[in-house]
Amino acid sequence: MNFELLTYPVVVAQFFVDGLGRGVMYGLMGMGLALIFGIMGLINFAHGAFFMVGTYLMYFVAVQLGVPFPIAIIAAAVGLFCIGAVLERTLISPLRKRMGENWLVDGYVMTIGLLIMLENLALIVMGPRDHGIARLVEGRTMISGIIVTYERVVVFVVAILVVLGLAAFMRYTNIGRAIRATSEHPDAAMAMGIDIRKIYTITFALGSALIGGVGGLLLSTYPAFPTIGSDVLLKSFIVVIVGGLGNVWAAMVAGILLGLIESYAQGIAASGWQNSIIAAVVVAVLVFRPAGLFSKSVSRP
Amino acid sequence: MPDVVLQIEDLQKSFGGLRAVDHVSFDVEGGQLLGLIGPNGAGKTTIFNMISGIYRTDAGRILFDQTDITNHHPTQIAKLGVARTFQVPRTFNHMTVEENLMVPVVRLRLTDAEASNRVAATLNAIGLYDMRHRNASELSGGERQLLQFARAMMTQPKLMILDEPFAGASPAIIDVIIERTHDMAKSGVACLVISHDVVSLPKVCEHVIVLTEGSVLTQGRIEDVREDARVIEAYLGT
Repeated sequence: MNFELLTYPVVVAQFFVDGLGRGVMYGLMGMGLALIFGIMGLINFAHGAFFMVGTYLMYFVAVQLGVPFPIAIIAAAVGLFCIGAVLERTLISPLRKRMGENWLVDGYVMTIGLLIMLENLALIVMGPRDHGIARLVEGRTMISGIIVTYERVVVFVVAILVVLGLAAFMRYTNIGRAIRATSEHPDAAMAMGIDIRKIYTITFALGSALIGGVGGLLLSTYPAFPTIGSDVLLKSFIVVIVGGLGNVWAAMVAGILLGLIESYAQGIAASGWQNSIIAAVVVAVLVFRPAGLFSKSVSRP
Repeated sequence: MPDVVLQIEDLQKSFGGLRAVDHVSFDVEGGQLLGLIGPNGAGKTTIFNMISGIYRTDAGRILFDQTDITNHHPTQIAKLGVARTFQVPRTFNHMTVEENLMVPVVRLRLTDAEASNRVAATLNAIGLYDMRHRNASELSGGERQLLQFARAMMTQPKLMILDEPFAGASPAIIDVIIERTHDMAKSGVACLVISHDVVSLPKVCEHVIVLTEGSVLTQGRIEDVREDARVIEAYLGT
């Protein structure tokens, strides 16, 4: 451990900036998972695989077709929205109808199956080789001795836009209100004439679009590879557990918190220690705040 | 003669070995205020849950506005014009009072102006307008009853089914619910009410159906039913 580094304000600030950059990435990763769990109660184990599909979509649209990066990221999100909607309608919705109230355990198993299927499909089609880009945005700047890459700035700005956009969608649109109502009392929502099957499809598609878009956004950090989603799934679970199950906004805050812890841990300890420290944080949260840092109980957005 | 809005024909429902609803039949006409009473476990809420599509029936038919809605999805039934409240108020507590009323707007296909006018009118009618920006979680139990009643009013239904609408409500709130229920009936809405409140129910309904152990024991004017020895026995035992 090299605590002496923390006596240099520039180093402390650099760790902070790096941690913030990482943290918003983790927060973005967790948001889709939290959204689907919060509304549907479903833990989507295929979340990481959707990220992987998002990275491949971004690669094809941006690199193969030569479409500008911002449009390619949107294409990845839209692609995953469509894939999510089709999967929900063809696999999850029939399962829910057939199994009634007991559908969730089967739903978990189904998403594990989806994860295995998508990863192996990617392996067959794309092979065991990275497909990535060097940089989303070139260049960096130095502010008072602190290095800030433009790419991190872009990710940070996108994260803020996503959080604000999702908040506005949930709060001010009729569908957003219907989603929130369904998450709290599905039977009361149905009694209002809300088609909760449609709401679940939209929610699953939206959660998929979020992680797909994040896959596109982070292609330079996480190049497209069949199993690239495993790490993302793990990080997303950590974020969701620490923030509070099903709480989309807490996922972003928890992501930032974890990014900062990881950055400082990596800075003052030997490489690899950050994982042990993060694991210790997760265990501590599960022991002392089992519902998550920002939830009194299992709360929903 | 007013049109029959709801026809219940020989309805049956069992849970395992328990016959919760046993060959129940009755009609509700447009503008009628009909009470459904009986001791705990008589099958009242089970009937409501079958009408609103939450439970599937074992046998029998439910006709709403001449349409067979037996075992239809709750969403379809609500879209046809059936609104309900729940015994334990199911308000959306993470939303404001105003947002609670906005929930059905997505399927009512109202413009923003129409929606906000209807929300304001409904909130004014039940006296919650000043609380419109408060979270539903901050309301008292009685105010939540009022809120879910208002939410049902928002959909402008043809049939309103109210499950214990007076439970936990103050006398002032009960008066509001009674007045608004009468207003709805005057405009042709059929209302079916479950209540254990022997003081308030007669202010809403002149006619009641008495259920016991899943079957219709008797029906008629509330004053007559009260004197029926079988009803007294069903409530108090022998």
